[in-house]
Amino acid sequence: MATKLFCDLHSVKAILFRRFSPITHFSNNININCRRDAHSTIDPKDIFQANPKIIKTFWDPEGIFKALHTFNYLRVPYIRDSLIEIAPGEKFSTCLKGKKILDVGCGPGLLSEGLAKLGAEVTGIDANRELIEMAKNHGYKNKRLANNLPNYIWTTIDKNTRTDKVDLYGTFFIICFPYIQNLFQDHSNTYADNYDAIVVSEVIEHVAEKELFVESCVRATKPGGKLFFTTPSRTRFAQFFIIFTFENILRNYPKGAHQYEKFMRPSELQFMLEMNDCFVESIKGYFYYPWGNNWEWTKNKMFSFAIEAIKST
Amino acid sequence: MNYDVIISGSGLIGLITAIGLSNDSVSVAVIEKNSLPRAVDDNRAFAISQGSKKILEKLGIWRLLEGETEPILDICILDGDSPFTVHYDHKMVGEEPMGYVIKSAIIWNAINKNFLHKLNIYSPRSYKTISCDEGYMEVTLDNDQKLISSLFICAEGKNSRLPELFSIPMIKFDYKQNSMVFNVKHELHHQNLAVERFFPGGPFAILPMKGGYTSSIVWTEKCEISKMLMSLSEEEFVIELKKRFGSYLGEIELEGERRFYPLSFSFARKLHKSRILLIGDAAHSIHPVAGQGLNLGMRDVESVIRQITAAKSSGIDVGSNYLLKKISYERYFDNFTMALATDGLNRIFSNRILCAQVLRNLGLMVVENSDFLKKSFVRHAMGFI
Ligand SMILES: Cc1cc2nc3c(=O)[nH]c(=O)nc-3n(C[C@H](O)[C@H](O)[C@H](O)COP(=O)(O)OP(=O)(O)OC[C@H]3O[C@@H](n4cnc5c(N)ncnc54)[C@H](O)[C@@H]3O)c2cc1C
Repeated sequence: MATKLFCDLHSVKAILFRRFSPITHFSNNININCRRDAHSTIDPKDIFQANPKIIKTFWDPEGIFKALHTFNYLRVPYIRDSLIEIAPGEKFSTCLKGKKILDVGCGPGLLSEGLAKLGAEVTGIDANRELIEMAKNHGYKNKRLANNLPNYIWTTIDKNTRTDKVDLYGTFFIICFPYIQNLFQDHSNTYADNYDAIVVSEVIEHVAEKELFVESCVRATKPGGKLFFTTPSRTRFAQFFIIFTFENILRNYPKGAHQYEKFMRPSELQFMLEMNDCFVESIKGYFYYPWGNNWEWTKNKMFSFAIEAIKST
Repeated sequence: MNYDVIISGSGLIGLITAIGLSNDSVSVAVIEKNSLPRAVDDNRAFAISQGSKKILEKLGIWRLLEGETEPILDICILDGDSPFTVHYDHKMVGEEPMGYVIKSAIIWNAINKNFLHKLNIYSPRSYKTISCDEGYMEVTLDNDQKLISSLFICAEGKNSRLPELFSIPMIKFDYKQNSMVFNVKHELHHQNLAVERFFPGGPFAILPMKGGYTSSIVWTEKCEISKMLMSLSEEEFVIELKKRFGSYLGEIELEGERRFYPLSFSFARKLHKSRILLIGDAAHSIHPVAGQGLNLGMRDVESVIRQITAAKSSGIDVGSNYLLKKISYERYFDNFTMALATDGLNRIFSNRILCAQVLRNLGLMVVENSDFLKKSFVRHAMGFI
């Protein structure tokens, strides 16, 4: 049982609900602490003595997650332009008004806030309580956002969470990896056919059961609604840049955030979406330039790709 | 009240930024310590470069000025009475004029009439406190009204105290020179020629104005001398003036009053801090030797509008450090070289030291005979960088 668990652990150690996990250095021994089932006695807060420094850096545009901040320059217009056509003179602050958007794996709310600033009705869900709290705090505290806050939900984590302390790369990291797909399944059952758009940005590469995950995403979308995925491609090129260069050398991305095996090819994701009665409108490639800290659309999809699909009516 | 951007100071730079941003659906408030609309009482003229014209065109301001501008087609540079001159012709870089001369009153009237009512203006007001928080900033006005915004743009001109309050390092010094600004009528048509003559006291600039028979003069002199000159009667002043002006335009007479502006240099070593951004003269007040102060500020305006609109339309915090850094990266080098160039020009030309005299005449000769140098200077002065 123990060995099985351990293997299991290794296979899923990277199902980080999002690529950023609060990381704490522990001085005690490796401590595998799994709770598979419901009523976990552990208060996640205790396990999560997450390093406040790292937590703070999520919203620091100069911190380790700075790439995600500038990523909004690419992904927000991408989503915006596909959902609406902006008439000249129209105000950006209300252009997405009335659009219900679900941000799956919203993390600290970088993308959710970006979309909310354009007037969209955003719901952000994430399995990580700490991050959801942070997202909420960041929103409430900000008097500039007051009138259109995204709604952040930490879906009932007690039922499905599994928390593990795992030794990764020789350092003691504490990783909480809830089964995001389970959580999300819950949300998508309650809110089936509810959203105008589902946004899954840089998340699916951390999900283990991708079929189930995509199915849930599609379920929550209104017929005729749109789905947006952005994720790295499973190419050696992407592996070289994302994992080797950006994570380990340039430290533009947090270390250990990506696993090559979890990456997808555009055709795979397209196939999954099509299996779920979606029509794939476009697949675009993009690239991250670490020195300028900016993102640009590219012709090839070797690094990362963005996929846009419509749920059939 | 809640805004994306608060602009403090409604000089030309502040107002044009406000106009540009609100065109692009960014919500803006303007704070001005004097009451608005300002009384337009000076007869000053600005030399506006091609680059600035393009920016004003984009913002819909240029069409309101169109009939009132005078193109500059040639520029002549002389060192006092020495025979070496440099002559720039706009044809060297294309068909377009090198710049335009516009009365400041014309610009102000156009703005007052067409744009002021569309802006959220707090005047006459100043701020008591500014506090920056994560995600936003709060400004308390002197009537205790509170404004909330993401970004605070300081366009308060060169006497702004804000950089000091936020301990933004500045390089400051006094030129110990004053500029006397006035207009003259002359007998002959100016042929759209702008002249800059260098004298030991400072540069003497003649800008061709609308109509063909008036020119705007910016006469820079050492403090004491300029004070003395200002105290002269008009007739005596014209006699002194003719010594500098020469007789190439026939008889001249003064039109309107004379004003003088003390000159000083100030340059912010950092353009932003927390959620504060410096633009225009608040960031760089340079010597008027090349008539580039406003033009340099206009390039700030262009960069600010472009970057902030892009951020706003992507749901990015318009006061984020990342964005402000991007704007300063774009602007810093240009600001620095322009400040250095104008300061250097003034230093080399405004003295009687023999060595400098030889050097500058050599310089003028080289420039006059080098197509490449001339072209690149013209391009820079036209605002093409
Ligand atoms: C003699 C001379 C000739 C020039 N000729 C040219 C030329 O030919 N071409 C050219 O391009 N440039 C020229 N310039 C430069 C040009 O005048 C300036 O660069 C330009 O006017 C600067 O504009 P600004 O908006 O930054 O500052 P300002 O015009 O100084 O405006 C600042 C505003 O801020 C307000 N303010 C200050 N403090 C506060 C506060 N605490 N709260 C609220 N409001 C405040 C002030 O009331 C004022 O309205 C010349 C300058 C001089 C001195």
